[in-house]
Amino acid sequence: MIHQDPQGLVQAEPAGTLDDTQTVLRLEGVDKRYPGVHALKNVSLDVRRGEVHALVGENGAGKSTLVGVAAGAVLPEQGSVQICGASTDSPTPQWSREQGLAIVYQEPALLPHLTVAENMRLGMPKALRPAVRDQDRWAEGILEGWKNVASIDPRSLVGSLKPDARFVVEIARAMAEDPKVIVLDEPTEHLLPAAVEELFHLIDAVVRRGGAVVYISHKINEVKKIANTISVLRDGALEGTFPAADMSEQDIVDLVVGHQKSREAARTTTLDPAAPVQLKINELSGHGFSHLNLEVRKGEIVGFAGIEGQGQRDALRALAGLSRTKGSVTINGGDVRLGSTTTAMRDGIVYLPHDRHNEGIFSRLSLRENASIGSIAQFAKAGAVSSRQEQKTVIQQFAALRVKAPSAEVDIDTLSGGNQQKVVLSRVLLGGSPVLLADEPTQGVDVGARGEIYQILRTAAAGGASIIVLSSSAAELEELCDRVIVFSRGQAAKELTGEEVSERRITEAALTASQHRAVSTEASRPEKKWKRQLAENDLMPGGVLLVATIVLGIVASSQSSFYLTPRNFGLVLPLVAILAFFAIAQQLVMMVGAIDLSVGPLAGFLVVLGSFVLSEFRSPVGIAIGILIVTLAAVAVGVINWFLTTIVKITPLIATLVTFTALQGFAYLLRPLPGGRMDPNFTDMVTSSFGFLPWMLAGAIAVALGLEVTLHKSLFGVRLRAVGSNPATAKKVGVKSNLVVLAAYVGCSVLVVPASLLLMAQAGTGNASIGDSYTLASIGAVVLGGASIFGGRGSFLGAIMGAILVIQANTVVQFLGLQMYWQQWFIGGLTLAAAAFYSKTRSLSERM
Amino acid sequence: MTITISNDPATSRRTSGEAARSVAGQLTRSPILIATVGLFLLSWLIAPGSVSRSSIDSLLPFAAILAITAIGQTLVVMLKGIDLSVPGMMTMGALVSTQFAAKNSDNVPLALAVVALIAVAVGLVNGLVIAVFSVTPLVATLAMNALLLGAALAYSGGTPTRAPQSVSDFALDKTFGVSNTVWLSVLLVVVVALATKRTVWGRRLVAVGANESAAKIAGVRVVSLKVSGYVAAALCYSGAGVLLAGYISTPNTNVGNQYLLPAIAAVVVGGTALNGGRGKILGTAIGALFLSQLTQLVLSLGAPSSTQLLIQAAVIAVAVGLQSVQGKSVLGRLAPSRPKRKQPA
Repeated sequence: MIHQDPQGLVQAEPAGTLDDTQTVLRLEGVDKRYPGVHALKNVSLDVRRGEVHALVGENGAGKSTLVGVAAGAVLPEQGSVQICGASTDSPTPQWSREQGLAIVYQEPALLPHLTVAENMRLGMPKALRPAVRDQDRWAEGILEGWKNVASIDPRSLVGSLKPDARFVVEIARAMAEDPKVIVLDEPTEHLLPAAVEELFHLIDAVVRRGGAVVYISHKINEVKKIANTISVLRDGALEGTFPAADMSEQDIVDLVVGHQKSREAARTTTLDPAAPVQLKINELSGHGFSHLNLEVRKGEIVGFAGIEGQGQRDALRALAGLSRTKGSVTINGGDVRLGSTTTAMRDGIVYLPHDRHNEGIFSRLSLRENASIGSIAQFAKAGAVSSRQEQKTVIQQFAALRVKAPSAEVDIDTLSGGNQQKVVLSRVLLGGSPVLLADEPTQGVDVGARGEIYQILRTAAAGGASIIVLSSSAAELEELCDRVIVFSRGQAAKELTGEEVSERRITEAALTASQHRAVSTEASRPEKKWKRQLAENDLMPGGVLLVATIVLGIVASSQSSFYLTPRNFGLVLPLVAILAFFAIAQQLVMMVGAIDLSVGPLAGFLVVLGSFVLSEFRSPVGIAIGILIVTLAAVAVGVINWFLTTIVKITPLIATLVTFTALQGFAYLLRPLPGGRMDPNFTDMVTSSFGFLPWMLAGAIAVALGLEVTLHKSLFGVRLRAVGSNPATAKKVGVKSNLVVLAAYVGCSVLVVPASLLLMAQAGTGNASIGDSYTLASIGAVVLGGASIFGGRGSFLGAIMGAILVIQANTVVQFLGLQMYWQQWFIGGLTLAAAAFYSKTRSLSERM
Repeated sequence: MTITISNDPATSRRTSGEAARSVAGQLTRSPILIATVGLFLLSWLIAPGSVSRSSIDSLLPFAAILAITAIGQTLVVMLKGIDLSVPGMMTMGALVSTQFAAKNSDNVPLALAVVALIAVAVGLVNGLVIAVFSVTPLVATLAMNALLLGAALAYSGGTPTRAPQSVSDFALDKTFGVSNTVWLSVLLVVVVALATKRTVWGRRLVAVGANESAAKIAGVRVVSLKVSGYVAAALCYSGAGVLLAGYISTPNTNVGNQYLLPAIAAVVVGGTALNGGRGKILGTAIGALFLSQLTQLVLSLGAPSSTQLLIQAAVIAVAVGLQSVQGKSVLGRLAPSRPKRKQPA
């Protein structure tokens, strides 16, 4: 690898050691490309002991990517990372952490389905990790220092915390690592003023004891306040590193923005002062904001400003029809029906979302499809779209907005951020609505396109639209708006007009208006606490099922005296044991957000295999070897499932459908017709019982209990839930998710082994299709038991309870003399009801 | 090199010409079409009996029924879902059409109306449970399948009835030498392909599948759209069930079971991505033909059903493997990664 930087040579020499004792973090010639973006261009950076090193630059300048490289979350194409003397060119999250680098991401790298304490523990280096039984107390101790800022219960799920509380958790954890260098990515974005104070104290403490802080921010005044050294990034390249004392705010701004003039020369307003009022908002209240009164003229651009989370976005999204509101909104005298985007659009309000990736673009669809969807009905006669008209209109709009693309038929994913945004803007403008709501219209857009987007918005205003722009950049608001409303605590606190619409006044107003905000970040609303706890508890469904099972049992025993006899239990319990193992197996893969359809045919295949290796009259050793062979076959299937899903990246559903079909094929290949005889000694062993309780069922319950404990009390269990909760975040905090998923698939297949042994005993012969019906039964049992098919949640005991209930229902239907189809109705209805119920209660607990 | 899209009228003229060419291009580039043509050539070479007039005649109606089922599944997959209620709905369609007609003096139109009503109700419940109660499609349709199979059993009492003569006649009769069932499936392919590409409903369906939140913000009524997709799918399955009843004349209570997995396979092999959005209706239909002929070929070679299953598994694996970018690069990934730079001493 060619390494042109002469620094690299110096570093290799022993003479560099003196320098190295002062340097805690060194990035050397780091280069990173993403499809279409050269994110980092040969960037080198030295961070010294005892300094606060600020990294400034615009959105998309490469700040987060650069620190991502340092933290091992981003693998650079070229360059190396050196932390406290140790150096590597392919850092991993674990490596960086063990070397003493802690990072707080802009989006906290926390897993929603794990508790606060589990999250904190997962992110710690090995040496500092507390024992599981101590973790709650340990976390409590760390969070103690933040008591005056936020009171956070270490036992609550992160998913139920408010964004600022999550950030506190993340910072507190990073500080607890006692890092040599700590990286803070836009830390004050989510924090309330009191927490910012606390954070600055902590930064001071880190520096005093000889650590270093890398501080990323786009708030230049804040940077001036705390940084010793400032490095400026622009378009992926380092503009230079400077002592903070030598730089004025204007100097920094000039460097950040580059050679272009730092501010547009003059704001051009097209507003006709005599223009009539077009949009009238009267006493509008909703979630997060209240009593909003606003009149916007035709052709006027009004800005929404304020510190993050003061209700400005809630108000904007409510106007777009995305949430329920009270109050009235009229456009040119006509009432607007809010509460639905469809009616809001019909009545004249369109919304440009800020989260372009999740709410703006339609991935894998063409530019034309992306642009025309909002006004598709306009191009249609009697429901049929006229391609010619659609194409003409869309291409005209693209030309007007200067969308740069090879054609209107390419996928939107191939465009740069700025061009994607222009396509979304095209969609918004095509409807010709009188009111346009633009939420962060230039987020993730490069400087050139930014100017063009400003021009597009101005043109739209000049064309008679009333525009509301929400932006976290005061400079942007200054440049665009005729008037700015500053939000505080859900209210329009201040209105700036005329000369007051300046970056300084907007920022000042936002800061002063929010000064008095209450410090409470208590996550839960007390009146709903018990409901939330119930919804958060994964054992709740199991309890409900237990009650249902007992009720059914009572009904059955009142109808027939045979129900409560050992003989009946002797017939039913082995069936329970079989389904219980299938359910535990399925639950294990569902924990990581996957599904395994192949469990049923796998059992059939293993039974067939058993009819050869466990056939008549073997010695105990022979039986042991037979079971070993069966187990190894199961392991192999688990590995194949993992390979198809994780390495080839086929969706679990289809991947395991492939193994499903293949296993059926292999089973029929070995035994086209049922044949062979199982060893009677072996089947006796498998079916033996204590009294009427088969020991295999006792085994299933023991396994479930063991896994349940593992899930909550061991690092492996936490990792399992972490991967299921959010694989990307889990990877970021250093969980080797591929291995965890491998363990889940192999574990699942191995858990099918005892079930197949029971099936061997039941059939006594090699029958290829004996397991087929268990795939769907296992999914049903697990869903009844409360598993989330998206992973991260569920309980093995719940899965067993699900299995018990399914078998119980089947038995009771017979005892009640009902027709067989009642079994299906009962299970189907119960599954639907349970899934709907769990899904509703959970959305309650996870709502912020 | 990128160019700014201009509104030069010449460009738009050219694009319509391009559109025609791209249709032709897509067809020739469609892997499933090439594979299907290749399969028929191979069949002709190694087992000419499997492509004889009579075996094609017996193959096509079943391929058509599979295609109709798979088109319904495609609509659901386009909505980022999966529908496991296929067997239940097909069985209901088959049993209700035969028994209801039998009980009501062979009143076929009434029987068909009842089947359609049931399908609409099933689609409504599926769609509402999924869209309003946010239950995973897999779970919702799995439960619905159990309910439907139970209902089919309850309605029929488990005993098969002969399909009404007119339904059998329609399914078995030929027009222009090709079975009516096949014509019906061709018609359905054309209608659904046009509906998803060229109607407001279809465009919104694609949008909701590609990105539900963005569709909502763009003013699409997501819930009613999803529900309509599941209703359309259920109608497809029930129609396939009725045809199947007519074709095999005495449907039993697990008549739909063997259609669930092949229908999903046809969607996948046809090239529709499982992560929602644009669907390939024609691809699905060709995929159904491909899978049917594959079965035919394997059977005519005298291979046991086990071989058939193994080949099916391999075909699905290859088809999805080729679709995923990672699948293509798996070989590359197994090879040693970039050379590690030596650590400075």
